[in-house]
Amino acid sequence: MKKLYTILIALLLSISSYAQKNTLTTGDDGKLMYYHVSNMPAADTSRSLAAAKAFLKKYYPDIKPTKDQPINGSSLNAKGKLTLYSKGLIAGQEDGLLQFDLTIAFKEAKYRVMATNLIYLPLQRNRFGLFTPVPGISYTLEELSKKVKDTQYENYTRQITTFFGYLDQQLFRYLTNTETKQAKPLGTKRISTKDW
Amino acid sequence: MKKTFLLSVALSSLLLTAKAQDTTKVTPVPADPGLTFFGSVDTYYKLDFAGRKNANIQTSFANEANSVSIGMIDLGVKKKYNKALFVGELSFGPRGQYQSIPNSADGNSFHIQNLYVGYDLTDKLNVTAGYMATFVGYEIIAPSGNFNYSTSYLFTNGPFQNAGLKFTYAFSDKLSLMAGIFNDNWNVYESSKEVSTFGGQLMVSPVKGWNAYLNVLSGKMSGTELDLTTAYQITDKFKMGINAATYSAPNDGGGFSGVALYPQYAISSAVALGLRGEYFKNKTATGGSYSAIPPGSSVKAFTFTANIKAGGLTFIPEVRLDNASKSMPYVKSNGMPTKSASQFVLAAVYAF
Repeated sequence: MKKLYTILIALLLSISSYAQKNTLTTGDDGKLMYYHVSNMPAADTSRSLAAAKAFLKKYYPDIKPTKDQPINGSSLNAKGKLTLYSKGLIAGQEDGLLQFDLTIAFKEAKYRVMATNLIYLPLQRNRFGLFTPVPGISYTLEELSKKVKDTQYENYTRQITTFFGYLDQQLFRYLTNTETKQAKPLGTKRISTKDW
Repeated sequence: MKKTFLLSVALSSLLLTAKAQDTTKVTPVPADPGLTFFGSVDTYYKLDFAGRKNANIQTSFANEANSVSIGMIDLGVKKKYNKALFVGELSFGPRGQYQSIPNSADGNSFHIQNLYVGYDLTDKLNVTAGYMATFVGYEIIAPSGNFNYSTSYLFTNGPFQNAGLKFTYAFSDKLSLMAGIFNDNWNVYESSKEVSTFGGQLMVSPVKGWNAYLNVLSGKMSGTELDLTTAYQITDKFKMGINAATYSAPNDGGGFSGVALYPQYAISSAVALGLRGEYFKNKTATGGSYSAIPPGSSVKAFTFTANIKAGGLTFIPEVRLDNASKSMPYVKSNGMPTKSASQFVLAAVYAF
Protein backbone atom coordinates (compact mmCIF):
# COMPACT_ATOMS: atom_id res chain seq x y z
CA MET A 1 0.00 0.00 0.00
CA LYS A 2 2.88 2.36 0.83
CA LYS A 3 4.28 1.79 -2.65
CA LEU A 4 0.93 2.78 -4.12
CA TYR A 5 0.90 6.01 -2.11
CA THR A 6 4.45 6.79 -3.20
CA ILE A 7 3.57 6.23 -6.86
CA LEU A 8 0.49 8.40 -6.60
CA ILE A 9 2.37 11.25 -4.93
CA ALA A 10 5.14 11.03 -7.53
CA LEU A 11 2.48 11.13 -10.23
CA LEU A 12 0.90 14.24 -8.69
CA LEU A 13 4.26 16.00 -8.46
CA SER A 14 5.19 15.21 -12.04
CA ILE A 15 1.83 16.44 -13.31
CA SER A 16 2.02 19.66 -11.34
CA SER A 17 5.55 20.32 -12.56
CA TYR A 18 4.33 19.84 -16.14
CA ALA A 19 1.68 22.43 -15.47
CA GLN A 20 4.29 25.04 -14.54
CA LYS A 21 4.43 28.04 -16.84
CA ASN A 22 7.27 28.66 -19.25
CA THR A 23 10.11 30.65 -17.76
CA LEU A 24 13.13 32.42 -19.15
CA THR A 25 16.32 30.41 -19.08
CA THR A 26 19.98 31.31 -18.95
CA GLY A 27 21.93 30.77 -22.18
CA ASP A 28 25.55 29.81 -22.84
CA ASP A 29 26.58 33.45 -22.46
CA GLY A 30 25.01 33.67 -19.00
CA LYS A 31 22.22 35.94 -20.26
CA LEU A 32 18.49 35.41 -19.96
CA MET A 33 16.71 34.09 -23.01
CA TYR A 34 13.53 32.37 -24.11
CA TYR A 35 14.34 28.89 -25.40
CA HIS A 36 12.04 26.12 -26.45
CA VAL A 37 12.55 23.04 -28.62
CA SER A 38 9.56 21.39 -30.31
CA ASN A 39 9.25 18.16 -32.19
CA MET A 40 7.51 18.21 -35.51
CA PRO A 41 6.92 15.78 -38.35
CA ALA A 42 10.03 15.50 -40.48
CA ALA A 43 9.96 18.04 -43.29
CA ASP A 44 12.26 19.63 -45.79
CA THR A 45 14.25 22.32 -43.93
CA SER A 46 14.00 24.80 -46.76
CA ARG A 47 10.23 24.39 -46.84
CA SER A 48 9.98 24.83 -43.05
CA LEU A 49 12.16 27.92 -43.21
CA ALA A 50 9.93 29.43 -45.86
CA ALA A 51 6.91 28.64 -43.70
CA ALA A 52 8.53 30.28 -40.66
CA LYS A 53 9.25 33.38 -42.69
CA ALA A 54 5.69 33.46 -43.99
CA PHE A 55 4.43 32.98 -40.43
CA LEU A 56 6.28 36.04 -39.15
CA LYS A 57 5.13 38.12 -42.09
CA LYS A 58 1.51 37.12 -41.55
CA TYR A 59 1.19 37.21 -37.76
CA TYR A 60 4.12 39.32 -36.56
CA PRO A 61 4.89 41.88 -39.28
CA ASP A 62 6.81 44.01 -36.77
CA ILE A 63 9.31 41.19 -36.24
CA LYS A 64 11.52 41.72 -39.26
CA PRO A 65 13.95 39.11 -40.63
CA THR A 66 17.48 40.50 -40.63
CA LYS A 67 19.30 41.13 -43.90
CA ASP A 68 22.23 38.86 -43.05
CA GLN A 69 20.76 35.40 -42.58
CA PRO A 70 22.97 32.47 -41.49
CA ILE A 71 24.66 30.62 -44.31
CA ASN A 72 23.60 27.17 -43.11
CA GLY A 73 20.10 27.78 -44.44
CA SER A 74 18.43 26.06 -41.51
CA SER A 75 17.56 29.00 -39.31
CA LEU A 76 15.81 32.33 -39.54
CA ASN A 77 17.07 35.40 -37.68
CA ALA A 78 14.78 38.33 -36.95
CA LYS A 79 14.57 41.40 -34.74
CA GLY A 80 11.54 42.73 -32.95
CA LYS A 81 10.10 44.79 -30.13
CA LEU A 82 7.50 43.96 -27.53
CA THR A 83 5.56 46.57 -25.55
CA LEU A 84 5.43 45.82 -21.83
CA TYR A 85 2.59 47.17 -19.75
CA SER A 86 2.39 48.18 -16.13
CA LYS A 87 -0.52 47.20 -13.96
CA GLY A 88 -2.80 50.10 -13.17
CA LEU A 89 -5.83 50.54 -10.98
CA ILE A 90 -8.14 51.05 -13.94
CA ALA A 91 -6.08 49.91 -16.89
CA GLY A 92 -2.51 49.16 -17.77
CA GLN A 93 -0.13 51.64 -19.29
CA GLU A 94 2.77 51.27 -21.68
CA ASP A 95 5.79 51.03 -19.43
CA GLY A 96 8.66 49.70 -21.47
CA LEU A 97 9.78 48.25 -24.74
CA LEU A 98 11.65 44.96 -25.02
CA GLN A 99 14.05 44.66 -27.95
CA PHE A 100 14.94 41.10 -28.90
CA ASP A 101 16.61 38.91 -31.48
CA LEU A 102 14.47 35.99 -32.54
CA THR A 103 15.92 32.80 -34.03
CA ILE A 104 13.84 29.96 -35.41
CA ALA A 105 16.14 27.04 -36.23
CA PHE A 106 15.29 23.67 -37.78
CA LYS A 107 17.15 20.41 -37.35
CA GLU A 108 15.90 17.00 -38.41
CA ALA A 109 12.42 16.46 -36.98
CA LYS A 110 12.50 19.36 -34.55
CA TYR A 111 12.88 23.09 -34.34
CA ARG A 112 13.73 25.63 -31.66
CA VAL A 113 12.59 29.15 -30.90
CA MET A 114 15.13 31.39 -29.22
CA ALA A 115 14.69 34.99 -28.11
CA THR A 116 18.02 36.47 -27.09
CA ASN A 117 19.69 39.83 -26.54
CA LEU A 118 16.73 40.97 -24.43
CA ILE A 119 17.06 44.73 -23.91
CA TYR A 120 14.57 46.82 -21.95
CA LEU A 121 13.91 50.43 -22.96
CA PRO A 122 11.90 52.47 -20.43
CA LEU A 123 9.11 54.58 -21.90
CA GLN A 124 8.10 58.09 -20.95
CA ARG A 125 5.09 60.17 -21.93
CA ASN A 126 5.89 62.88 -24.41
CA ARG A 127 4.13 66.16 -25.13
CA PHE A 128 1.71 64.52 -27.54
CA GLY A 129 0.45 62.02 -24.97
CA LEU A 130 2.39 59.17 -26.55
CA PHE A 131 4.82 56.86 -24.81
CA THR A 132 8.29 56.87 -26.34
CA PRO A 133 11.67 55.43 -25.24
CA VAL A 134 13.80 57.58 -22.96
CA PRO A 135 16.76 58.49 -25.19
CA GLY A 136 20.01 56.83 -24.21
CA ILE A 137 18.63 54.63 -21.42
CA SER A 138 18.48 50.86 -21.85
CA TYR A 139 19.04 47.84 -19.61
CA THR A 140 19.64 44.19 -20.21
CA LEU A 141 17.03 42.04 -18.55
CA GLU A 142 19.63 41.03 -15.95
CA GLU A 143 20.31 44.69 -15.13
CA LEU A 144 16.60 45.45 -15.04
CA SER A 145 16.05 43.07 -12.14
CA LYS A 146 18.16 45.44 -10.02
CA LYS A 147 16.50 48.60 -11.32
CA VAL A 148 12.83 47.87 -10.70
CA LYS A 149 10.76 46.33 -7.93
CA ASP A 150 10.45 42.56 -7.81
CA THR A 151 6.72 42.68 -8.57
CA GLN A 152 7.33 44.87 -11.62
CA TYR A 153 10.12 42.60 -12.83
CA GLU A 154 7.93 39.53 -12.39
CA ASN A 155 5.16 41.29 -14.28
CA TYR A 156 7.54 41.97 -17.17
CA THR A 157 8.99 38.45 -17.31
CA ARG A 158 5.49 36.98 -17.20
CA GLN A 159 4.49 39.12 -20.18
CA ILE A 160 7.67 38.15 -22.04
CA THR A 161 7.26 34.41 -21.49
CA THR A 162 3.56 34.60 -22.33
CA PHE A 163 4.31 36.43 -25.55
CA PHE A 164 7.01 34.04 -26.74
CA GLY A 165 5.08 31.02 -25.52
CA TYR A 166 2.12 32.19 -27.57
CA LEU A 167 4.27 32.85 -30.62
CA ASP A 168 5.84 29.43 -30.18
CA GLN A 169 2.49 27.64 -30.04
CA GLN A 170 1.12 29.62 -32.96
CA LEU A 171 4.20 28.72 -34.96
CA PHE A 172 3.79 25.03 -34.10
CA ARG A 173 0.21 25.07 -35.36
CA TYR A 174 1.25 26.96 -38.46
CA LEU A 175 4.10 24.59 -39.27
CA THR A 176 2.05 21.47 -38.73
CA ASN A 177 -1.10 22.35 -40.62
CA THR A 178 -1.53 20.96 -44.11
CA GLU A 179 -1.77 24.32 -45.81
CA THR A 180 1.61 25.32 -44.51
CA LYS A 181 3.17 22.05 -45.54
CA GLN A 182 2.53 23.14 -49.10
CA ALA A 183 4.43 26.39 -48.65
CA LYS A 184 6.91 27.03 -51.37
CA PRO A 185 10.52 26.47 -50.40
CA LEU A 186 12.91 29.40 -50.41
CA GLY A 187 14.54 29.82 -53.83
CA THR A 188 17.67 27.85 -54.47
CA LYS A 189 19.20 25.64 -51.83
CA ARG A 190 21.98 27.27 -49.85
CA ILE A 191 25.31 25.56 -49.45
CA SER A 192 28.26 26.03 -47.18
CA THR A 193 31.47 26.59 -49.06
CA LYS A 194 33.51 26.10 -45.90
CA ASP A 195 32.94 22.36 -45.75
CA TRP A 196 33.84 20.54 -48.97
CA MET B 1 -11.00 5.16 4.50
CA LYS B 2 -8.23 3.96 2.21
CA LYS B 3 -10.68 3.69 -0.66
CA THR B 4 -11.89 7.26 -0.08
CA PHE B 5 -8.32 8.52 0.07
CA LEU B 6 -7.33 6.69 -3.12
CA LEU B 7 -10.44 7.97 -4.85
CA SER B 8 -9.71 11.56 -3.87
CA VAL B 9 -6.08 11.24 -4.98
CA ALA B 10 -7.20 9.77 -8.32
CA LEU B 11 -9.72 12.60 -8.81
CA SER B 12 -7.09 15.20 -7.92
CA SER B 13 -4.67 13.73 -10.42
CA LEU B 14 -7.37 13.78 -13.10
CA LEU B 15 -8.09 17.44 -12.34
CA LEU B 16 -4.42 18.32 -12.47
CA THR B 17 -4.05 16.41 -15.71
CA ALA B 18 -6.88 18.45 -17.15
CA LYS B 19 -5.17 21.63 -15.94
CA ALA B 20 -1.86 20.53 -17.38
CA GLN B 21 -3.51 19.89 -20.72
CA ASP B 22 -5.10 23.29 -20.51
CA THR B 23 -1.69 24.94 -20.61
CA THR B 24 -1.16 23.58 -24.09
CA LYS B 25 -3.96 25.82 -25.27
CA VAL B 26 -2.84 28.96 -26.98
CA THR B 27 -2.79 31.62 -24.30
CA PRO B 28 -3.29 35.25 -25.23
CA VAL B 29 -0.41 37.63 -25.82
CA PRO B 30 0.20 40.35 -23.20
CA ALA B 31 -3.04 42.22 -23.01
CA ASP B 32 -3.32 45.52 -24.79
CA PRO B 33 -4.92 47.63 -22.07
CA GLY B 34 -7.35 49.07 -24.57
CA LEU B 35 -7.72 52.67 -23.58
CA THR B 36 -4.61 54.03 -21.92
CA PHE B 37 -5.19 56.58 -19.20
CA PHE B 38 -2.50 59.03 -18.16
CA GLY B 39 -2.11 62.38 -16.50
CA SER B 40 -0.77 64.34 -13.59
CA VAL B 41 -1.66 66.51 -10.64
CA ASP B 42 0.54 69.32 -9.33
CA THR B 43 0.56 71.76 -6.46
CA TYR B 44 3.21 74.17 -5.16
CA TYR B 45 4.30 76.76 -2.65
CA LYS B 46 6.22 79.77 -3.87
CA LEU B 47 8.17 82.31 -1.86
CA ASP B 48 9.16 85.54 -3.54
CA PHE B 49 12.30 86.76 -1.76
CA ALA B 50 11.20 90.37 -2.22
CA GLY B 51 7.93 89.51 -0.53
CA ARG B 52 5.90 90.59 -3.52
CA LYS B 53 2.50 89.03 -4.00
CA ASN B 54 2.30 89.63 -7.72
CA ALA B 55 4.59 87.58 -9.89
CA ASN B 56 7.97 89.26 -10.04
CA ILE B 57 9.36 86.76 -12.49
CA GLN B 58 6.74 86.62 -15.17
CA THR B 59 7.37 83.31 -16.86
CA SER B 60 4.58 80.77 -17.08
CA PHE B 61 3.11 78.91 -14.12
CA ALA B 62 4.29 78.86 -10.51
CA ASN B 63 3.54 82.56 -10.42
CA GLU B 64 1.32 82.89 -7.37
CA ALA B 65 3.73 84.07 -4.71
CA ASN B 66 3.57 83.46 -0.96
CA SER B 67 0.78 80.98 -1.43
CA VAL B 68 0.09 77.28 -1.52
CA SER B 69 -1.38 77.09 -5.00
CA ILE B 70 -2.47 74.55 -7.54
CA GLY B 71 -1.24 73.81 -11.02
CA MET B 72 -3.70 71.55 -12.73
CA ILE B 73 -5.16 68.11 -12.95
CA ASP B 74 -4.34 66.72 -16.34
CA LEU B 75 -6.37 63.76 -17.62
CA GLY B 76 -5.51 62.02 -20.84
CA VAL B 77 -6.80 59.04 -22.71
CA LYS B 78 -5.22 57.35 -25.69
CA LYS B 79 -5.98 54.44 -27.95
CA LYS B 80 -4.16 52.98 -30.89
CA TYR B 81 -5.79 50.17 -32.81
CA ASN B 82 -3.89 48.85 -35.78
CA LYS B 83 -2.94 51.98 -37.70
CA ALA B 84 -5.41 54.43 -36.19
CA LEU B 85 -4.77 56.51 -33.10
CA PHE B 86 -6.53 59.10 -31.02
CA VAL B 87 -5.36 61.16 -28.05
CA GLY B 88 -7.58 63.30 -25.87
CA GLU B 89 -6.10 65.27 -22.98
CA LEU B 90 -7.94 67.76 -20.81
CA SER B 91 -6.64 69.89 -17.97
CA PHE B 92 -8.44 71.65 -15.19
CA GLY B 93 -6.83 74.31 -13.03
CA PRO B 94 -4.87 77.54 -13.50
CA ARG B 95 -1.88 75.93 -15.23
CA GLY B 96 -4.07 74.34 -17.83
CA GLN B 97 -6.49 77.23 -18.25
CA TYR B 98 -5.85 80.97 -18.14
CA GLN B 99 -2.15 80.59 -17.42
CA SER B 100 -1.75 78.55 -20.59
CA ILE B 101 -3.72 80.59 -23.06
CA PRO B 102 -5.57 83.88 -23.00
CA ASN B 103 -8.83 83.20 -21.24
CA SER B 104 -11.27 82.77 -24.02
CA ALA B 105 -14.62 84.46 -24.25
CA ASP B 106 -16.50 81.20 -23.92
CA GLY B 107 -15.40 80.96 -20.28
CA ASN B 108 -14.31 77.34 -20.48
CA SER B 109 -13.57 75.75 -17.16
CA PHE B 110 -11.09 73.43 -18.83
CA HIS B 111 -8.42 73.49 -21.45
CA ILE B 112 -7.65 70.96 -24.13
CA GLN B 113 -4.00 69.99 -24.18
CA ASN B 114 -4.23 67.45 -26.97
CA LEU B 115 -7.16 66.40 -29.11
CA TYR B 116 -6.10 64.74 -32.30
CA VAL B 117 -6.30 61.67 -34.45
CA GLY B 118 -3.51 59.95 -36.30
CA TYR B 119 -3.10 57.28 -38.94
CA ASP B 120 -0.10 55.31 -40.16
CA LEU B 121 -0.37 55.59 -43.92
CA THR B 122 2.65 53.32 -44.28
CA ASP B 123 5.31 51.90 -41.96
CA LYS B 124 7.19 55.16 -42.32
CA LEU B 125 4.56 57.82 -43.04
CA ASN B 126 2.11 59.07 -40.45
CA VAL B 127 -0.57 61.74 -40.62
CA THR B 128 -1.96 63.60 -37.60
CA ALA B 129 -4.76 66.15 -37.40
CA GLY B 130 -6.32 68.14 -34.59
CA TYR B 131 -5.21 70.33 -31.71
CA MET B 132 -1.77 69.26 -30.55
CA ALA B 133 0.95 70.28 -28.16
CA THR B 134 3.43 72.33 -30.11
CA PHE B 135 6.46 70.58 -31.52
CA VAL B 136 8.55 73.68 -30.80
CA GLY B 137 10.71 74.10 -27.70
CA TYR B 138 12.26 72.16 -24.86
CA GLU B 139 9.68 72.57 -22.10
CA ILE B 140 6.00 71.64 -22.11
CA ILE B 141 2.82 72.53 -20.20
CA ALA B 142 2.45 69.22 -18.33
CA PRO B 143 4.67 69.50 -15.24
CA SER B 144 5.53 65.79 -15.44
CA GLY B 145 7.37 66.50 -18.70
CA ASN B 146 9.70 69.16 -17.28
CA PHE B 147 12.62 68.88 -14.91
CA ASN B 148 12.26 72.43 -13.58
CA TYR B 149 8.91 73.51 -12.17
CA SER B 150 9.06 77.16 -13.17
CA THR B 151 9.48 77.67 -16.88
CA SER B 152 11.88 79.42 -19.21
CA TYR B 153 11.35 82.71 -21.03
CA LEU B 154 11.71 80.84 -24.31
CA PHE B 155 8.87 78.49 -23.34
CA THR B 156 6.59 81.24 -22.05
CA ASN B 157 6.90 83.33 -25.17
CA GLY B 158 6.81 80.51 -27.70
CA PRO B 159 3.79 78.53 -28.84
CA PHE B 160 2.03 76.12 -26.47
CA GLN B 161 -0.24 74.39 -28.93
CA ASN B 162 -0.91 74.34 -32.63
CA ALA B 163 -4.01 73.10 -34.39
CA GLY B 164 -3.44 71.69 -37.84
CA LEU B 165 -2.53 68.79 -40.06
CA LYS B 166 0.94 67.32 -40.19
CA PHE B 167 2.74 64.50 -41.93
CA THR B 168 5.77 62.79 -40.42
CA TYR B 169 8.07 60.60 -42.46
CA ALA B 170 10.51 58.42 -40.53
CA PHE B 171 13.47 57.57 -42.73
CA SER B 172 14.81 55.50 -39.83
CA ASP B 173 14.95 55.60 -36.03
CA LYS B 174 17.64 58.25 -36.47
CA LEU B 175 16.10 60.57 -38.99
CA SER B 176 12.60 61.91 -39.53
CA LEU B 177 10.97 64.87 -41.16
CA MET B 178 7.67 66.51 -40.28
CA ALA B 179 5.82 69.09 -42.35
CA GLY B 180 2.42 70.51 -41.64
CA ILE B 181 -0.01 73.34 -42.04
CA PHE B 182 -1.53 74.93 -38.95
CA ASN B 183 -4.04 77.57 -37.92
CA ASP B 184 -3.03 81.19 -38.45
CA ASN B 185 -2.52 81.81 -34.72
CA TRP B 186 -0.93 79.78 -31.94
CA ASN B 187 -2.89 78.41 -28.96
CA VAL B 188 -6.35 78.66 -30.50
CA TYR B 189 -8.96 76.02 -31.12
CA GLU B 190 -10.13 77.89 -34.19
CA SER B 191 -8.29 80.01 -36.73
CA SER B 192 -9.14 83.69 -36.90
CA LYS B 193 -9.17 83.61 -40.66
CA GLU B 194 -7.33 80.72 -42.28
CA VAL B 195 -5.02 77.76 -41.96
CA SER B 196 -1.82 79.44 -43.04
CA THR B 197 1.05 78.73 -40.64
CA PHE B 198 3.70 76.38 -41.97
CA GLY B 199 5.45 74.09 -39.54
CA GLY B 200 8.38 71.77 -40.04
CA GLN B 201 10.63 69.64 -37.92
CA LEU B 202 13.80 67.75 -38.76
CA MET B 203 14.76 65.15 -36.16
CA VAL B 204 18.20 63.58 -36.13
CA SER B 205 19.70 61.17 -33.66
CA PRO B 206 23.43 61.08 -34.48
CA VAL B 207 24.39 58.75 -31.64
CA LYS B 208 22.57 56.69 -29.04
CA GLY B 209 20.95 58.96 -26.48
CA TRP B 210 21.28 62.14 -28.51
CA ASN B 211 18.21 63.59 -30.22
CA ALA B 212 18.13 66.96 -31.95
CA TYR B 213 15.09 68.75 -33.37
CA LEU B 214 15.31 71.68 -35.75
CA ASN B 215 11.93 73.39 -35.83
CA VAL B 216 10.35 76.14 -37.84
CA LEU B 217 6.92 77.70 -37.45
CA SER B 218 6.09 80.52 -39.82
CA GLY B 219 2.91 82.38 -40.67
CA LYS B 220 1.95 85.87 -41.70
CA MET B 221 -0.24 86.29 -38.61
CA SER B 222 1.76 84.32 -36.07
CA GLY B 223 5.27 85.37 -37.06
CA THR B 224 8.27 83.13 -37.52
CA GLU B 225 10.08 81.09 -34.91
CA LEU B 226 13.20 79.05 -35.56
CA ASP B 227 14.04 76.66 -32.78
CA LEU B 228 16.69 74.10 -31.94
CA THR B 229 15.90 71.63 -29.17
CA THR B 230 18.37 68.92 -28.32
CA ALA B 231 19.15 66.59 -25.43
CA TYR B 232 22.02 64.18 -24.99
CA GLN B 233 22.09 61.49 -22.30
CA ILE B 234 25.86 61.46 -22.13
CA THR B 235 26.12 58.87 -19.36
CA ASP B 236 23.55 56.98 -17.32
CA LYS B 237 23.70 59.82 -14.82
CA PHE B 238 24.44 62.95 -16.82
CA LYS B 239 22.19 64.60 -19.39
CA MET B 240 22.62 67.87 -21.22
CA GLY B 241 19.81 69.70 -22.94
CA ILE B 242 19.96 72.83 -25.09
CA ASN B 243 17.23 75.05 -26.43
CA ALA B 244 17.90 77.97 -28.71
CA ALA B 245 15.31 80.00 -30.54
CA THR B 246 14.68 83.23 -32.36
CA TYR B 247 11.29 84.74 -33.03
CA SER B 248 10.19 87.57 -35.30
CA ALA B 249 6.70 88.93 -34.78
CA PRO B 250 4.67 89.76 -37.88
CA ASN B 251 4.76 93.22 -39.43
CA ASP B 252 8.11 94.12 -37.82
CA GLY B 253 6.43 93.91 -34.45
CA GLY B 254 9.54 92.95 -32.53
CA GLY B 255 10.72 89.57 -31.39
CA PHE B 256 13.05 87.70 -29.09
CA SER B 257 15.93 85.32 -29.14
CA GLY B 258 17.57 83.21 -26.49
CA VAL B 259 19.35 80.10 -25.43
CA ALA B 260 18.92 77.82 -22.43
CA LEU B 261 21.16 75.05 -21.13
CA TYR B 262 19.81 72.17 -19.05
CA PRO B 263 22.56 70.12 -17.39
CA GLN B 264 21.10 67.41 -15.15
CA TYR B 265 22.80 64.85 -12.94
CA ALA B 266 21.15 61.82 -11.35
CA ILE B 267 22.60 61.16 -7.91
CA SER B 268 20.51 58.01 -7.60
CA SER B 269 17.42 56.54 -9.22
CA ALA B 270 15.34 58.70 -6.86
CA VAL B 271 17.27 61.98 -6.71
CA ALA B 272 18.50 64.22 -9.52
CA LEU B 273 19.88 67.73 -9.60
CA GLY B 274 19.62 70.14 -12.48
CA LEU B 275 20.44 73.67 -13.49
CA ARG B 276 18.73 75.78 -16.10
CA GLY B 277 20.81 78.68 -17.30
CA GLU B 278 19.01 80.93 -19.75
CA TYR B 279 19.84 84.05 -21.70
CA PHE B 280 16.83 85.78 -23.21
CA LYS B 281 16.74 88.99 -25.20
CA ASN B 282 13.96 91.17 -26.50
CA LYS B 283 15.83 91.65 -29.73
CA THR B 284 14.35 94.78 -31.21
CA ALA B 285 14.40 98.42 -30.19
CA THR B 286 10.65 98.77 -30.46
CA GLY B 287 7.65 96.50 -30.05
CA GLY B 288 6.10 94.83 -27.06
CA SER B 289 7.57 93.30 -23.93
CA TYR B 290 8.08 89.59 -23.43
CA SER B 291 7.50 88.43 -19.85
CA ALA B 292 8.10 92.05 -18.73
CA ILE B 293 11.42 92.23 -20.56
CA PRO B 294 11.13 95.42 -22.61
CA PRO B 295 12.54 96.03 -26.12
CA GLY B 296 16.33 96.14 -26.22
CA SER B 297 16.69 94.51 -22.84
CA SER B 298 17.84 91.04 -21.89
CA VAL B 299 17.79 88.74 -18.87
CA LYS B 300 19.98 85.99 -17.49
CA ALA B 301 18.05 83.45 -15.43
CA PHE B 302 19.48 80.64 -13.31
CA THR B 303 17.27 77.96 -11.81
CA PHE B 304 18.71 75.28 -9.57
CA THR B 305 16.28 72.38 -9.20
CA ALA B 306 16.13 69.00 -7.51
CA ASN B 307 13.80 66.14 -8.41
CA ILE B 308 13.10 63.73 -5.58
CA LYS B 309 10.98 60.78 -6.58
CA ALA B 310 8.81 58.75 -4.22
CA GLY B 311 6.65 56.33 -6.18
CA GLY B 312 4.58 58.30 -8.65
CA LEU B 313 5.22 61.50 -6.73
CA THR B 314 8.05 63.91 -7.53
CA PHE B 315 9.01 66.69 -5.11
CA ILE B 316 10.61 69.63 -6.88
CA PRO B 317 12.38 72.21 -4.74
CA GLU B 318 14.00 74.98 -6.76
CA VAL B 319 15.72 78.30 -6.31
CA ARG B 320 15.68 80.84 -9.12
CA LEU B 321 17.56 84.07 -9.71
CA ASP B 322 16.83 86.34 -12.69
CA ASN B 323 19.00 89.32 -13.52
CA ALA B 324 18.06 91.79 -16.26
CA SER B 325 20.23 94.25 -18.12
CA LYS B 326 19.35 97.71 -19.43
CA SER B 327 16.02 97.65 -17.64
CA MET B 328 14.45 97.14 -14.25
CA PRO B 329 11.49 94.83 -14.83
CA TYR B 330 11.26 93.54 -11.24
CA VAL B 331 10.16 95.11 -7.96
CA LYS B 332 11.93 95.25 -4.62
CA SER B 333 10.23 94.76 -1.28
CA ASN B 334 9.93 98.54 -0.92
CA GLY B 335 8.15 98.77 -4.25
CA MET B 336 11.08 100.28 -6.14
CA PRO B 337 12.05 98.82 -9.52
CA THR B 338 15.11 96.63 -9.66
CA LYS B 339 17.15 94.56 -12.07
CA SER B 340 16.95 91.27 -10.24
CA ALA B 341 14.41 88.97 -8.66
CA SER B 342 14.64 85.66 -6.87
CA GLN B 343 12.23 83.03 -5.67
CA PHE B 344 11.93 79.63 -4.03
CA VAL B 345 9.41 77.03 -5.12
CA LEU B 346 8.52 73.69 -3.62
CA ALA B 347 6.27 71.72 -5.92
CA ALA B 348 4.80 68.23 -5.80
CA VAL B 349 3.80 66.50 -9.02
CA TYR B 350 2.05 63.14 -9.21
CA ALA B 351 2.19 61.54 -12.62
CA PHE B 352 0.27 58.47 -13.71
